[in-house]
Amino acid sequence: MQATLKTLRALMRSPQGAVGTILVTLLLFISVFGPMLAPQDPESFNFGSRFSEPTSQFLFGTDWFGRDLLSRVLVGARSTVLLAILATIIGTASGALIGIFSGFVGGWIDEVIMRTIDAVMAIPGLLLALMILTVLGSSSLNAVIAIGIAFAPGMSRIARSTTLSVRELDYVSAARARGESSLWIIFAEILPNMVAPVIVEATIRVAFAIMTLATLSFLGLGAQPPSSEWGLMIAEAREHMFRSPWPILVPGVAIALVAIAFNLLGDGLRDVLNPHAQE
Amino acid sequence: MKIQLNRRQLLRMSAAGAALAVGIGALPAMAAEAGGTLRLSVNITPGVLNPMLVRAAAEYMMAEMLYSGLTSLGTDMTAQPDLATEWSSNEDATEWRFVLREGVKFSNGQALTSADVVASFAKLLDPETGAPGRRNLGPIKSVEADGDFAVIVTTQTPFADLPVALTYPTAKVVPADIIANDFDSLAQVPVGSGPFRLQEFRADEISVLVKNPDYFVAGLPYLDEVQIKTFPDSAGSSAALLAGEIDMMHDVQPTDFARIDAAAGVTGLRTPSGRFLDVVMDTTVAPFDDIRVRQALSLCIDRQAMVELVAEGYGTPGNDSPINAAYRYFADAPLKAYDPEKAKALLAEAGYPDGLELEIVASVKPGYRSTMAVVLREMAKPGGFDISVKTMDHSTYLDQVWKKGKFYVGFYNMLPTEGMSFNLLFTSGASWNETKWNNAEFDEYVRKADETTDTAMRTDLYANAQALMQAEVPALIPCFFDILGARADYVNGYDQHPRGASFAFHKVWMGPDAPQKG
Repeated sequence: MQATLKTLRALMRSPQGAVGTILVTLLLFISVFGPMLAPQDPESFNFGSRFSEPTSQFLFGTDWFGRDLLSRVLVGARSTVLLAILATIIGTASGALIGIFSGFVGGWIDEVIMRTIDAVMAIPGLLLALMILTVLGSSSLNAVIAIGIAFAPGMSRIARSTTLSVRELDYVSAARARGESSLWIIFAEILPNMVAPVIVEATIRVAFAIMTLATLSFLGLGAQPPSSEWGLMIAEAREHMFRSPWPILVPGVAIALVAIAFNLLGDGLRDVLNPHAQE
Repeated sequence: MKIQLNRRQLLRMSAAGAALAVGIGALPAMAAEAGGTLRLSVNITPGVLNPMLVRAAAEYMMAEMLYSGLTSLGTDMTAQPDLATEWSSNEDATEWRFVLREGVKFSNGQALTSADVVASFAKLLDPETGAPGRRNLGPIKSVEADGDFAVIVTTQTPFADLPVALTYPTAKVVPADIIANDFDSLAQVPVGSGPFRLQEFRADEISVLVKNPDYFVAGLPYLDEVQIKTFPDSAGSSAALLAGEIDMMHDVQPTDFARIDAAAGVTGLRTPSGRFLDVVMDTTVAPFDDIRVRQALSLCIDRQAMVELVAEGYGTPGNDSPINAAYRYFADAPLKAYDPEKAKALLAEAGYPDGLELEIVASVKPGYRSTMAVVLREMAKPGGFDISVKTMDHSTYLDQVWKKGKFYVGFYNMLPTEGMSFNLLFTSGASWNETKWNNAEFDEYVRKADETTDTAMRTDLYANAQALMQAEVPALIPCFFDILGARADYVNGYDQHPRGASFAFHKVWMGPDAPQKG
């Protein structure tokens, strides 16, 4: 607990860390409470006010059906941000476990796992996600799983290299000498000491996940209309771009903000958690 | 509102409209000039080259340019000479004689004779060929040669619309020996007598067609070359037109039409049409086997608002029948009212007092399919329907959902006659019997109307058929679309066709200020 507070305090001292933390906190708040904050039903049409510019009634304007863009972005935050975080957690957890196991066991098992990971990594992430979605069918949840799977290989490489350096340290040898089980060594000795780089990587990956998720929805493979997932909002608004910029601008700015926020937070965390970076 | 009324009235006088179009066509003092390249954009790539198997606008376009049929369809929905120069029938319209043009050559050099016509129709009518228009050609019993340059077509029952029916886009003439020996080769190598020949074909990208120097109409085509480019993204297509990279857009999205029409150097093309989007319901499976569910859903549509939201005002409201004012035998009826309360009551009666959850599939092409699905979802909410929308890539949709799914958005062009529209989609024997409605009474009306040449009787029969569809709702047809396209100002001689499946590019010519000239 004390360590977390200390990290947080250090984070707030760096400008990018501070901005990132504040933005991400705000975002998480919106993601959780967005539907309650939304002034209107994000799906209800207002026939009289199609393509409205921002007014006091519609703070961010309306889209081609006269739907309130503010409400749509607020409600869409949940499906966009939370799903991106979920995808990152899936990718990070599975990748980290594979990486630690592989690095800790070593030998030919390590070889087999890592060469397989290399093969999977040779396929670009978006392409891999597309392939997985083609097999699973398109839906938001499948998109999350696909992104999680696409993220795992990169994560496992980071986890493995950290594990390799930690594995040879004295306290691990001491634990071995005490006759602790492998599982105990992995979870109690290695994991806590390699979690920092993994967290940094994961934070930055959330921004990627948001963009990949938006891309998949944009391609029609993720969320389905009339969902207010941000990528889908942009894809649908493209047709109406020349009549009103607001339907494309509002979710576009939202995605950009989220990506920036998580990147800043990731940068801040890296500086705080990595002692070498402070030199 | 006022404009729509005027347009309807104009439409009803289709003959007058056609005369007007001819008049306008004849107006420019400039003489047509030969030469030049037309670069055209389509939004769905042509995939099938075999003319007997084509099924979408871009494929119809290629088939029409590469091949000829007996008759072609005028913009007033009458049969015009193509390979046949004249035709006549016996009194009860069961035996027709078509006189063929002499001296027509296929692109492989062979002469086109009645033997090729006979072989082509035998192949078209063979159910094993799987030609989409097989049922649309009419109740043809036999096609026989009468000398080298005439054919006799006999029908099982009287069929007054035969010359028009033979304009169906798949009804093309190909050489008899290719049909006998190597029919499948037409999927790669076209052999036809159309105004153009294929030079290059790259699916999803570009098709290049060059002038057929031996075309049977002297002096035509004017163009040296036509490039059909696929733009999967309509925004990209309109940007290319405005930047001068293409000369013509075959299809403009309603959302983009006003902007393109207003641009300098570009003319928007708009023709009222019977093109429609429908919501197909498989009437043999639950819950759509219950007529009350279909009627309830039909009550959940505000049709005027649908035209505004889905067609952006470039269309007319529909009444759950595929026939609108663009057709001759349209039976006008008051628009069905939006009444979600009544819909709710009907649903409860049908055994769904707590509402009904449904999933509707909409292909992503054209874009307004999913727009209609989303609008339907929203409009049907107060009526107790909870409809979720599933969008799908167009080829996946054609493969997995079209004609198989139980609830999806279909998209159809106008057909030359009422009978063809009904026989393509809604009779028991329809080629694309998606709804499996199979209503004997309806079949009977359509069959009788097909057989008679008596206009008053046909008016009655088609009115009954339309009323029956409105009452039983095998499919929801809330909205008809105008045909929208655009051309650069220097593209001349293009008459946009309300059918959406005829193009007549051999009559198009480039004005003096065209960039691709010479």
